[in-house]
Amino acid sequence: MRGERPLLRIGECLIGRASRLLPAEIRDERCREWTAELPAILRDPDTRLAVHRAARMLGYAAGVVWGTALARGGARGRLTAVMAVVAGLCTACFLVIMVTNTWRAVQAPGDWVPYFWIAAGSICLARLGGVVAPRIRRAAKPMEGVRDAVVAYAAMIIPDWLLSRLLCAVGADQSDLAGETGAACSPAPGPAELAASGEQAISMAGDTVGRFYRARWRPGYQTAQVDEFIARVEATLAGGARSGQVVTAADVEAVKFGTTLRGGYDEQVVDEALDQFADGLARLAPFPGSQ
Amino acid sequence: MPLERVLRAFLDDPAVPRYGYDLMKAAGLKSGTLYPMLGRLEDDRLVTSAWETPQQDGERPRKYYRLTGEGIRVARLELAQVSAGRPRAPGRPGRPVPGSLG
Repeated sequence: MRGERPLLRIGECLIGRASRLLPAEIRDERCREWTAELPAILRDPDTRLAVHRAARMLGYAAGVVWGTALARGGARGRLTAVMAVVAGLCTACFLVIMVTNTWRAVQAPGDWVPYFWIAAGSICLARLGGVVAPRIRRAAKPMEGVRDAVVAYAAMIIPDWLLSRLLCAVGADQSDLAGETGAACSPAPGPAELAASGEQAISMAGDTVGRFYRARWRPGYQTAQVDEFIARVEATLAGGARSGQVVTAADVEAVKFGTTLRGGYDEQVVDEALDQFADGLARLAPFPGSQ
Repeated sequence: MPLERVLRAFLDDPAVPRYGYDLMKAAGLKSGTLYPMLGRLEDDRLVTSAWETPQQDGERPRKYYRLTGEGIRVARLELAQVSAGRPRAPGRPGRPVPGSLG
């Protein structure tokens, strides 16, 4: 392609700029990775027009600069700042409500309304304490715990539709809501646990309380049954299941769970997950002990 | 949702390692969106990466990404959750039959 060298130089210059925004330990590797893509984009056989390829390559380099500028640290910082403002305002509101109503209760002891507001404010503050304290206690660094607590608390207050817009606006995503409340799915077991035997996986099921959405106002699957079965599936996918515990795609298709009127797992969510698992199991080579 | 598209691209064939530009095309994402996301997935150990030597002379080594075992599991669950949030395809059989495990 004519003019390839100057174009590459421009792209490399942009990527060099982006790399300078990165921490030193990953700078070189990222720079090498990104610059390696430049000639590949310029020679991409799927893009017919040379002008289009050149524009795409420059867009790629510019996108890298933009993405690096909005990278995790920045996005997390902006998110934390916004969440801190939300959490601070809400806490201030609770305190104002409590103080004014305490004063009103002192002035007019017979009126029940101030007591209601004092109780409501106390519950909200206790909830705040319940969110903040464990996170700070668990965090390796206290300030990181405070940050997580603030974000989690504000995420609890802000409605979902507004939260998603807010995340988008600051360049963050759901993963920046560390320890978020009401998470849709908490894939609790880590890789080491997944590699455990089927027996361990089954015992693990009792701990994974929040594996799926719970159906609040309609019947749902019994959580223990689902957890146990999913643990077997996970152990099978991880190759750690004992021969008697191995699950096949057909087992997943055929499984039936008991239902419970309250607190069960959302049936639709579990079914969708099982479909995905069945797909994953179907791709596995047959296990020696499966049939 | 960008993450969903990336996970779907990986899950098309989880065994095949994908490089950045390939994922960009498959997921229809910009580099500025994709790479920070890959970085996070790698930090969370859901994706692993490796440098591969060029097949042709003159090509630079490229970094290839692949879902880890945990990544495949989490991706499937995430996509299941995402699809569960959408209206269900009509006529799709459910599983609401009480009984014992199969």
